[in-house]
Amino acid sequence: MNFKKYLMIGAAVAGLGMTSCVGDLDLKPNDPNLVDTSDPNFKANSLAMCYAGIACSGISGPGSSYVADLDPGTSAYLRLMFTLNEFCTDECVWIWPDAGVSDIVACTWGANNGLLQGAYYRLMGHIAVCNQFLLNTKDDTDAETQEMRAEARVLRAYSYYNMMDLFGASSFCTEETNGQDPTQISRADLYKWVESELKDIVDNKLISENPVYGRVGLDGAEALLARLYLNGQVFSGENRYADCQKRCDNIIARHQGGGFEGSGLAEHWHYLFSLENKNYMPGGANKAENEILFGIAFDADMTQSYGGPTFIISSTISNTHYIPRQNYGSSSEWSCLRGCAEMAARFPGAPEETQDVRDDLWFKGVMPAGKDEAGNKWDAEDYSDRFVGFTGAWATCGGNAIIKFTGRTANAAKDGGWNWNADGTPGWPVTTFSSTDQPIIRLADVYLMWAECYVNGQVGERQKALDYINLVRRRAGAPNTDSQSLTKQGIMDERSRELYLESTRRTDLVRNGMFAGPTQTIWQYKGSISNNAGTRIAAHMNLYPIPQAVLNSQPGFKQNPGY
Amino acid sequence: MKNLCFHLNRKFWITMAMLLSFVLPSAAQKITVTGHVADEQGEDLIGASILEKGTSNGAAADLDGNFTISVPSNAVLVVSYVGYDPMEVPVNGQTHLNIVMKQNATTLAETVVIGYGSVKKSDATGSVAVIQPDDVEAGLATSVQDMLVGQTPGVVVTTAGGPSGSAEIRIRGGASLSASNDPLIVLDGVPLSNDTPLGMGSPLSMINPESIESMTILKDASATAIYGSRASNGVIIITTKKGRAGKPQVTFTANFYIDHARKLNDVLDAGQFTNLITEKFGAESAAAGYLGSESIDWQKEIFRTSFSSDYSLSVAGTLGKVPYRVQGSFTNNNGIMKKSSMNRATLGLTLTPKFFDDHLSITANAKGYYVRNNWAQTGAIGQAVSYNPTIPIRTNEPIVGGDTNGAFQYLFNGYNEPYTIADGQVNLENNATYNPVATISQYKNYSNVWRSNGNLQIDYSFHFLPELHANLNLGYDVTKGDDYYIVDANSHMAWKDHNNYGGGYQNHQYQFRSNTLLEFYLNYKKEFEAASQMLDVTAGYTWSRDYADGWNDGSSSEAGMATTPGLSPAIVGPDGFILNYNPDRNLAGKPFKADQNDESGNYHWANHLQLLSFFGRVNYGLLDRYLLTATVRGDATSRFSKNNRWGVFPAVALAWRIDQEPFMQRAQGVLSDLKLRLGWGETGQQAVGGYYNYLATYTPAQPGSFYTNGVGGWYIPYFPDGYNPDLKWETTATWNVGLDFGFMNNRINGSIEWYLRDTRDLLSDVVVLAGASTVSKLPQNIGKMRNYGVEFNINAKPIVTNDFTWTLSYNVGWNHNEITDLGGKTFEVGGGFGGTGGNCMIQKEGYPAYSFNLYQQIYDAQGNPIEGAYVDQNADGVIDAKDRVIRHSKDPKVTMTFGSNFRWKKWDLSFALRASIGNYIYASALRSGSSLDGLFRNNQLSNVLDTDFYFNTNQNESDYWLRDASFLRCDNITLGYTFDNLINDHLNLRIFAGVQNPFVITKYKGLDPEESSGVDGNNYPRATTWSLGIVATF
Repeated sequence: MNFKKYLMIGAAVAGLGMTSCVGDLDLKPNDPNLVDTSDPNFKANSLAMCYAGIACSGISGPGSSYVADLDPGTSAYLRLMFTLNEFCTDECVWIWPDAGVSDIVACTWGANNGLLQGAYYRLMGHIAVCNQFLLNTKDDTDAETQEMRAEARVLRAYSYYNMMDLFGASSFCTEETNGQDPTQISRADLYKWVESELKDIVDNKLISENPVYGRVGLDGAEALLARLYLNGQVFSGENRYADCQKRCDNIIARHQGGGFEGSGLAEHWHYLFSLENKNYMPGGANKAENEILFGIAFDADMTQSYGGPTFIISSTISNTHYIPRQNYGSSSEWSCLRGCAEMAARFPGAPEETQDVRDDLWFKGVMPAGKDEAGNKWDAEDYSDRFVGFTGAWATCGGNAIIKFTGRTANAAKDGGWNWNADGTPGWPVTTFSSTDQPIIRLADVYLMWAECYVNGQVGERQKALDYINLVRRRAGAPNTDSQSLTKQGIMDERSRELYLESTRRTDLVRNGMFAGPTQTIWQYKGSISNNAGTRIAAHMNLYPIPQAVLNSQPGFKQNPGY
Repeated sequence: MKNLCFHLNRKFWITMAMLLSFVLPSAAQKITVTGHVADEQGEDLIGASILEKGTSNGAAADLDGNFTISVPSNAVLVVSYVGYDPMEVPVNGQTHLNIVMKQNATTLAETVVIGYGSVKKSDATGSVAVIQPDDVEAGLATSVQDMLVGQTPGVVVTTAGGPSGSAEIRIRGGASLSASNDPLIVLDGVPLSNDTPLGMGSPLSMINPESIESMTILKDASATAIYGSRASNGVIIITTKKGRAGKPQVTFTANFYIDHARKLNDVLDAGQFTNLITEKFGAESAAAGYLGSESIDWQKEIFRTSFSSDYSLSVAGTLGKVPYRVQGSFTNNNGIMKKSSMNRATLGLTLTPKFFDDHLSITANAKGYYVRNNWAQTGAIGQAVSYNPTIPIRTNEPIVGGDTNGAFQYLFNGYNEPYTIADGQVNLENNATYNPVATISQYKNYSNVWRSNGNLQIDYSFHFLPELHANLNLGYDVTKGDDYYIVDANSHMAWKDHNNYGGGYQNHQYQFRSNTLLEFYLNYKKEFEAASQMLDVTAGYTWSRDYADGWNDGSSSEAGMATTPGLSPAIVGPDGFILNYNPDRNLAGKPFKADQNDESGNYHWANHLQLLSFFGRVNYGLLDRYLLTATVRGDATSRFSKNNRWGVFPAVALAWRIDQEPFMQRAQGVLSDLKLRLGWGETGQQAVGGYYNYLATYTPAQPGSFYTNGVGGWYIPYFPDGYNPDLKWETTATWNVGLDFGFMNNRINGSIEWYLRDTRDLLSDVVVLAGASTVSKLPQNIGKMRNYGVEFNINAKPIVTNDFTWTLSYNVGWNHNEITDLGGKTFEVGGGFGGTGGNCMIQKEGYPAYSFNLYQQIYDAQGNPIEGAYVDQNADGVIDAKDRVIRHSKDPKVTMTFGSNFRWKKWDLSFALRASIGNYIYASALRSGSSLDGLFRNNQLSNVLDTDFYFNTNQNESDYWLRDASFLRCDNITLGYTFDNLINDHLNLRIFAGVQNPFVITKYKGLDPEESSGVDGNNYPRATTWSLGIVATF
């Protein structure tokens, strides 16, 4: 009966196994892809995520996204900021009737617009990434970690700034409320919170004045604070132009002596939007001209996204035949983005007739044929067939290809020219994804903010405001202007000429009462999908609606008035 | 469809007539014998069959049990009746016979396999359905899921179209919102993981239908609770055939199939398309310039009529004292889409020895499988629907001066693709539709999967107490798979993915999965005859560990793999253009998806899962008529945190065998079974999302999502994964009331059941509160859902005579589903609009799960929808989210099946019909194929569907696309003939021919009304299968 004996032993072993096996439930992740807080690079790499969250749509390259149910490219952070701040304005349109985008272009959006939902979750997701970093480092008191924490706080403040700007009231949570349901914070309260965060970081100098390339430093934090104050009236009902100007003064003072006429501006405007612009980033090689105060770094191979400069360059490059994409460093052209006639009108005359370099790369007007600055032929096309979603033709705006961002490099002299090869071929890499960096706030913007504070808030000296506008104009090769520019319209036009396609237009228009409501200018295509001439946009559209999905999941949240 | 049926009928009758004349025996000299057939109680056996042995001469007992038959005086009569042992009665010259039949012992003792043991069918207390396929059914089914279709009410099986045989099985509609609704499948005592291994369909698709002894479907909680945590969606227990005593029995089956698509998308033909384009854009327009003179049916170019076959051979017998069964099979299943096929070889061995006077019984099972799948690129289906029908498949436009190796001799390897030429460059149109023929012929995707599973079950009944059994079960399931795809150089895919230089590429994935199981239980079973009591107690423990890992060798790099040798950097085309191939793009030294073994290990993955359970069950029977089952199971999973890890799932069931009551004795001749069952139980669910959703984990980014470290290197961003520390068990409580009945010795039998199922703490992967997590969706316990319904089934044999038997079965299930609590939240789900998001369905309190949520379309006087005009439900002047209307759901209200089987002498004819009522579909493919905005874009013309109405642009949110998809489908029609006792009784042979899915009757205009997701995209069309089979036993 040996067998029986073994059987009994076996049963006993199995019985013993039962008790010890309960411990088997504490399984640690065995996935080699996962790391935990004990990882030696945990802190640096977690902070990098706060930057990558703005640069990239997901963690597995440009096709990935951590916002579910929306195309990764369409929902990339910077692309959403571009879409929601540019396409609804008089600067440019997206010419494809893509779901969700058309309603932004025509200013006919509603609370169930997928892009708005994407933007809300994208921004709040980025805030959650920053919160997690701040939570994980809250007990680390060493100086290095303190500075990293300040960077994460600035990046988080940037996202909350965008929430406040786009949606007004926002979901709100910080590392201190971890584990609790986010609450809805009013626009005015969020304004106060962002202000206190940025003031704490800037005034207590918690962040480096000379940041590492690709990261944010004191300039970026203070410029964001200046932008916040500039819009104080809109955000909180409180005029903060004096505070804005003070912050601008601080930034300008730190840049005195270098760059264009000792202003700290880059000598050559075009280089700011080309592959060359890495040098002008915070921590970039060209310290004298580091005009980009806050920017996000990209790389054609390692930091890829269908948002950011890749998106702007590829979509502004026109249809295959007429704008050779390689001339702009891009191996793809999407033919999606066109300048509005209103935008074109801000630059009088054909490219060769004006000294202002800011429209040099444009293909203007509806003309049979012409040449771009490199001697390539170009043409305006009839895009009427693309607009079947809209009754009537949007064709007239079809011809305005307004190229600003490129993947070009500077020539050896760095005199504003480009690095063409002797045989006329491009001397820069032609890539699918762009290595050009994305400026978010530039010093030129700060000079113009200063001037606007004078115009709108009657603070500072009149001459200085005029000098600052002319400084920006002269740098672009445009002639000095007289006091005409010191009007609301004048400053707005100058901002548009300088900052077009830099995702500030909607905020600027709203601040000056020009976007929606009774004082709005009527623009073609805007206000109605079926009326190309444009109609007035209802005042409540100065704010985007809280997305329906957010209201669905948090029934206590209030919708913005009018939606 | 009508034509098809007509042909079938005509063929059928002609064939019948021919064969009848061949088979009918000739008459002979006979005496007349009369007789009477009754059972031991003296009841007349109406319809008992009386057959002269060795002939087809027979008669049937009449209403009084009497019969008359002419036979030779030395004949032997074979008397048979359902549920009774057949008898042989020698005539011996008698002219009157009184025949008394004995009830069939096996019918009386028929047992049902339930979890961890079996019970007598009459003692079962839960809602249990048993499928015991006969040769006919086994031979007909191409897969095990086919055998489940329409077998019992409340079980809905939706098979996919492809050859690999995936299917979705729902028992009573599923209890979860978005956690798994798949039933647990237990194969020979080993629960199978529902994770689909690489390159395989559902786990059921691995099992050869011919090897199945029985399948038990446990539907209600009192039956399933013994499987606790994994049983919320029902359990399917599969038992395979075992060895048998006696001389070895060999069974050989061969089946041959011809498949073709039952229906293809109805698109405009070349003539209609040309008319539309010239009408819309004008004959001289740029668009009309893209019209060609060809007439191509692109769907015909990618679909085919395919031929498939399978063979199986099994030997069952006893070697020495060890019963064994060995089985091997080979299947070659070719899909109706070109290049799609599945080849499968299986080998199985079962040994069932017994030792020590049968005190120790051992069951050893081992099965091995090899599957090779060739997958067609299904993206070609959508392309075939919209590709311009007027242009040729190939242009073979040679490129002058192509390189000397012949590479790139033709642009896009000669296929007609949308491209432009400008400034010396070829540019493939970026967002265009590409040539479907090129897609399937230049994309190769195949997988090789090896799998083995089996178990060793040791059952010992104690020598000193034989009523006590100890049972140890050790099981395993291991799969290893490789999946490859290769994209040809110079194909449109290569051009598109590699930005207009056309480098080919390949990808290799590897996956390993294992599942190990240890179960131990003690069972005590005794019948106390004196007290008329029965006690059956089981207590046990299970330990189960799943492990999986794999890697992806993504050489899908920019550098690509030049599958065509000798790529040349500059090839001058006929117009003097240069192919934009750039040889310097290999990103030397940069790990752009080139190295799967980089330091961060990004391309490896692994996961594991631990489940532990303790369970117990008591079955108690009193006086053979009062039955009680009580079950409790404690389950733990590593998916949840320590605090939420354990779930306890109890169940109680009562049954009352009314027919055994003394007061029912008078009815006993007519009534053979009447049992009332009442059950309540709770089951759990833990299968949602990832493996560590309760833990904060961090995932390093992959190259492409790196960020500069400012000094020329790269940070690898660590993404904080979304997590939910509060994740816990989803629990379902089920009430079940059932009545089983049987009349005339179960010649008519059936059951009616009512059930109520409440699920709480619904596990669902839903939108998180914005800001609460880094991701926008996470598994959460979000609310409550209720299902209730009624099921009815009846089986009857209206005619039983010697020569002719007619069997009918009908079942119907009605299910009501409602979300009862979501905390006031709603969740949009289902997608369907294409492009940049949007959902056609919603989860909301008070509505069925997956209800559609769309605008109400306004129609003009002609009944045509007015583009963009919707009903302003709240009359606030704007059409926005508040005007969406919630109505109808994707799930059917009523499902029905009807089967009928005729046996006439050695012929049999059967058919099965299945109906689904009240299931709705968002017709997404119809939507995108009925709008004209894509007719001409990207320098390309695109086709539309041939439909009643066209919109100018996609009207995504219109309920015009919400369609009633109720249907009646014929699952199969089969005709067979059996040759008994050939070659001196040594060979039984059955030959049959059949057709599966010959027709569907529905109002729905899309490809197929059966779509479990409720969103009908461009699906693989379901095939109609014509089959011819042979089963030989010797």
